[in-house]
Formats: sequence, structure tokens, C-alpha cells
Amino acid sequence: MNSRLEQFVTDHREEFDAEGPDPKVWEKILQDVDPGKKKQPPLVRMDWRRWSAVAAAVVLIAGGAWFFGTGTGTGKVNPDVARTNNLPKPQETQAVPDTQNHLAQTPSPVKDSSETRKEEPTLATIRPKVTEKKPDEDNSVNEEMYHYARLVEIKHNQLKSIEKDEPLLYRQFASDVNKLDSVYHNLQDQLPKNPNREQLLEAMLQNLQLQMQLLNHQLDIIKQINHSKKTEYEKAYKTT
Amino acid sequence: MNANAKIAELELTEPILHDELVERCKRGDSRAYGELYQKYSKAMYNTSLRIVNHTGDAEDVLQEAFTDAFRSLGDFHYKSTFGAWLKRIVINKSINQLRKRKMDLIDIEKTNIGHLPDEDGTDENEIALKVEDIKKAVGLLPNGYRTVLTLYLFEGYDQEEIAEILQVTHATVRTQYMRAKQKLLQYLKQGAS
Repeated sequence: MNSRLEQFVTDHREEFDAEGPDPKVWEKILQDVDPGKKKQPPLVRMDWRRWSAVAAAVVLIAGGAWFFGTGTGTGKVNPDVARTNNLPKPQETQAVPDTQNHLAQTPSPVKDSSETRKEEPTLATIRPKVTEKKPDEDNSVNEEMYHYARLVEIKHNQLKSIEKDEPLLYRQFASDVNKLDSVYHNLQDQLPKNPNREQLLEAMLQNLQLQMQLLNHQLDIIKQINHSKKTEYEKAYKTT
Repeated sequence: MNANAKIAELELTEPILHDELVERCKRGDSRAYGELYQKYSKAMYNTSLRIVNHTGDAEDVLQEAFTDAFRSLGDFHYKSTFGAWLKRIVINKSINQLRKRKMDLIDIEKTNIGHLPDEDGTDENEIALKVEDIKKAVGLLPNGYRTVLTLYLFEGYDQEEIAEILQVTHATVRTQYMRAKQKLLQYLKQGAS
């Protein structure tokens, strides 16, 4: 049945929908329906549940990853032997979180005075202005942190663009991100007090990475929603 | 039918996501009603117009269909997309509108059964196809032919579905469609010559 005529209609389908109804039709519908009048009790909306479930799962996984990534590390490392930025070489710094050996290589614990801490980089928000210059081992972390903070900010703005179209979904998503963000700020608050500075910075970095992953995931979901909306719209025009 | 088959396949594999606009309507958001009308009214109006072949009737159908759809949103459970659901309402109302005018929906009795329309096999490759000409020619078709042809050619229903909508057999739909198409091509040819 796939003839030239059918192909032609398929190719020009939208041109066949050129007529428009009289605007009065809408007025009549409005009089008949009067949507303001009948407010139905909120129905159970599976879609929100579904998407919140997805978002919640992401947060859980992210939280788990973060906990195991840093939580266990912190457990292992005795604060007394934690490294400080007296250590000159970045390579050694990197070795810290994943081995027990570092116990052996760590020099005698040096606890920094809080004065020193204050000069150290603190990320005022997730959108840090790059902070005061630092001993180099912090610098690479800093740079990385700055990089992720920028990414998070960009994605946050992308997410914000759905606020108008999908306010509920946006709120849900934003609250998930905010949970992670508040963890980030907690870590940041601990920074001046905690002797185990590198691990803390590492954890902050991981937190930013997670925020980014979460945002990526959320943006994917939005993309999917938009895509299916588009397909449906096209279907309404072209087929059943 | 390839495109339709592809979309049908998509429909099977892709779960129907809840439409936020529809959900807002369900919650009684009056602005959402307007947006929903904006989104679908034109396509639905044209669908109806092709069947009832009368602007006033098509507007009546549109009004009734949207009113009904808005009132029964609670019964819409995403078994199909909202667009497909609404379209089905529009089509049923359009067909009822035709019946109200006591138009015979099946033209088979009026034509000679067993004969393909005169000049069988108008060669469609010789005919220049133009959107406006086709629209005009569809409008000239008798109601029954026009309905079957429209549902198949423009709305993308398959013959089984059309048989169900019109409450006739599959075979009837097939012959009706073939005849309708022949007639359409004839009109197009006459118009061109």
C-alpha cells in the first residue's frame, strides 16, 4: 500500500493541517468547562513518584559512594598520623588515602595551628573564586575543585532553565542537589578545625564530582522527558 | 506505512511518560487547559474537518471533544498518549456528526460491487501531486470514502483499527480504501488536465 500518494502525504503531512478553528471555539469550551471551578483533589501522580524515586536512588548511590570513598578512609587514618601540608611532594600526598603504608612514611604528626588554616583555601561556596595561593600539593586539588565547581555551576544553570516548565520536578531535583551541597558545606566548615586536611579536600572534591554526576543524571532525565514529549506531539500530528 | 510502523514500534518500546501539561489540568490549573488547547486544537480541527467536510461542524466537534476530554481527564490513564486519546474522541464525534446528517458512511452500496471504479488503475505516477489539489479532491469524495481514506492516509490508523472504529469488516475497509484512492486519483487527474 505504500504508493506515491501515501508517501507524498507522509512527507507533507503538516501542510495538510493548515486550517485553524475560530477563536470563539475556545471561549465556548471555557464556558462549558470552567476549569477554575472544579478543583479535583490531587491525584496520585506516578510520574513524580517515578522520577523522585530515580533521583532518590541516585542520591543514595552517590551518598554510598561518598561514604565508602571517604568515610572508610577517615576511619583508617588516625588523625595523629594524618598528613599535613608540610609534606613537600604531591606524589606522596596522592598515596595517602589508599594505603596503610603511609603510616610508616608519615613524618611525625604536625598539627597546624588554626592561624595557618585560615590562610588556606576555603571554598566560600560551590562556586569558589579561586582562593589564595597555596602550597603546591593543595594547588592541584584546588584547581580540580575549581574546575568541578564551575561544571556544577553550569549544570545548575541548565537545570534552572526547566524551573518554569517543570516546577515540581525542578524543586525535587534541586533539593537532591542541595542535600549534597549541604554536605559539601559541612566539610568546608570542618576544614579549619580538622587536622586531616587533604582527606577533607579530597572529600570535598568527591562531593563536587557527585554533584556533577547527579546533575548530569537529572539533565539526562529531562532530556528524556523532553524527547518523549516531542515524540508524542509528533504522534498527535502524524499518526495515532 | 513504514513511518507508521516505526512509530508503532516506538510506542511499544517507549513507555508513555506522564504529560506534565495533562497533570496540571488534572489538578485544575486553568492555564494548563489553555496550553493544552493551543497545543492540540489545530491538528484536531483539521482531522475533524477532513471527515465532516464542513467548517461549522468541525468547530462543533472540536468544542465538544475538548469539553468532553477536559471533563473526563480523570479517566485518562496513559494507556495511549494524550494526543492519541484526544484524537480518538475527535474522530468518533466527527463520525457521529456525519451520521447525524444521515449520511451513509459506507458507499459500497452506491457503487458497483465487484467493479473497480471506472477507468480502473489510474496511474498515480502520471499525476502531479500538490497539497492544495489533494485537499480539494478529498473534499469531493463521498462521505464514506472520505472517512476511510482520511483515517488511513492522514491519521495513520491501520485497516484493522479503521474497521473497529467504523464497525465494519476489515475487507470492507480495504475495498473502500482502494476505491476511495482510485477516485481521489481520478479527481486529481481531471483537475490537472
